[in-house]
Amino acid sequence: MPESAHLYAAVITGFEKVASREISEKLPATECISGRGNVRFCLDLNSVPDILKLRSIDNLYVVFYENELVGLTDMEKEEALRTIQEQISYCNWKLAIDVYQLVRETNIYGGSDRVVDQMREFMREGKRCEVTENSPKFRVTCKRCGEKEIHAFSSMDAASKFGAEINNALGWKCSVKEFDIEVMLRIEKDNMTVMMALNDESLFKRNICAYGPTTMRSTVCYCMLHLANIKPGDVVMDSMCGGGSIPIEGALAWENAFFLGGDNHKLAMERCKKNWSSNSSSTKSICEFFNWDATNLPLRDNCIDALVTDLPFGKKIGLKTDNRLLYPILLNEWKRVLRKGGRLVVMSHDKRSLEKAILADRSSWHIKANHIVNMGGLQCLCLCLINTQS
Amino acid sequence: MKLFVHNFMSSRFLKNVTVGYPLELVVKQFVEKDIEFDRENTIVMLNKIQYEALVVAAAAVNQADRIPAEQPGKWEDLSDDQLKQFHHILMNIDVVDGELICPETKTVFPIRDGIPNMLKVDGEK
Repeated sequence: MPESAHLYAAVITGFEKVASREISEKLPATECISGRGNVRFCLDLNSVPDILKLRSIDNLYVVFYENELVGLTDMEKEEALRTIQEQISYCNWKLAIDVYQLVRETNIYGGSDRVVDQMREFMREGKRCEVTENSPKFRVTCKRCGEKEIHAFSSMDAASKFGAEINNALGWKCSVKEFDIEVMLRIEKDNMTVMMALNDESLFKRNICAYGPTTMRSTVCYCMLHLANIKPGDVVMDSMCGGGSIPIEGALAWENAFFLGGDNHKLAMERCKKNWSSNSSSTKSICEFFNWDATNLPLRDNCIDALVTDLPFGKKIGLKTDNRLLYPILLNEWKRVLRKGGRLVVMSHDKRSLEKAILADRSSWHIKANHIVNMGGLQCLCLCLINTQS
Repeated sequence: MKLFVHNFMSSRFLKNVTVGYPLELVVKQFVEKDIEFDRENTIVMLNKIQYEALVVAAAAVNQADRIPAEQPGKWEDLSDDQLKQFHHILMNIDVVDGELICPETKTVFPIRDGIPNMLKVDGEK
């Protein structure tokens, strides 16, 4: 068994640096490299079971093949697809299955040894395996990056051809809806990478059961909270918390800090209660909710250490014309309740209103970080600011 | 609503209020839950709070006898047992039903199902 695995983490586009930091903080990862929407790193097999503890990543894969297929972009459709199919024998199936079994804590029938034998027999004699009741169910997805027109084949073509070859060699049952194993092909120009998914449900689907109109993924919440550099004993607030996604993720991920969430909408409060009650069995996490008006906070001055919130974008909630008036008022309240040196992390799609509001009071805020984050297709601005209180 | 929260709350946003702190607290129903004690964290929290308001909160649940009437010297000098008394009041007590009252205008903000409703009633802006 090789000693380390090469992992690929799909992360929110724009927060790659944050994810990279979390990976380095929590795991003995090496060769950590960020790409667009992903972070790749190497990890000792002993540490692999800990990877599902990461909170900033949406999906995790183990890379078990990577190569340049010279001339792929020049090939005709049939030749290109045949070339892709042939790579099946060069994939490190043993590594993929071993890591998969380690992380999922389940076993594929016969384990990695059987898969290696089947593959060897297929390559040597063309021996096809039949699907049996013990066969795992699988599917193949293919993602092509960059210009799509340069290939003579479509992503679906590549996925189905590769899948057919797996079905022949290993006798796995192809199933698009309910599957045990997901193989992901990633093709960029002539380069092909083959990965196996390690988590079954997307990792961001935690915490929340009661969804509202603008509920944020837990992974986005985590990344924003991470930017706030929360220390033990800090009081952290989201003054427009909706269903509580941010304070709840905070309370679960930072057990030694205190989280407050407030919203002016009664329905939002109901959601907060539902969401928190399904998570609050912990004897350490602290998350308190309030029904309040974010422009008139019932808090004394300088009592909050960090404030993390996503502002109304002006799309689903509120209006962009309102934002021009609203954002400066909110910013003033935050300046008042945040202690000197306290951190403010805000996200909004209405970049203009946000930047204008900060510019109008620029002596009070020092911009620490600036991220353009892809939130469901919208390019949003996420800023980390420090209250200079000058 | 845990009692540490009361320490940060103020009614200054109301019209005609100059200080609005500390809020009066009436507790009709509360529960006690054992939150894990952490010495360092308790000291960090105690350094943030205003002592007089803490006594008000403790009195509201009839547990003011757990803590001294005046702020002790240095928090770091206290023993774990002494700090646990503070931790108990700040963290373990959860107000389910009650009221927060502005000390100047006597406006009542209800606490229902653990959540304080601090929205201004119309006409007070």
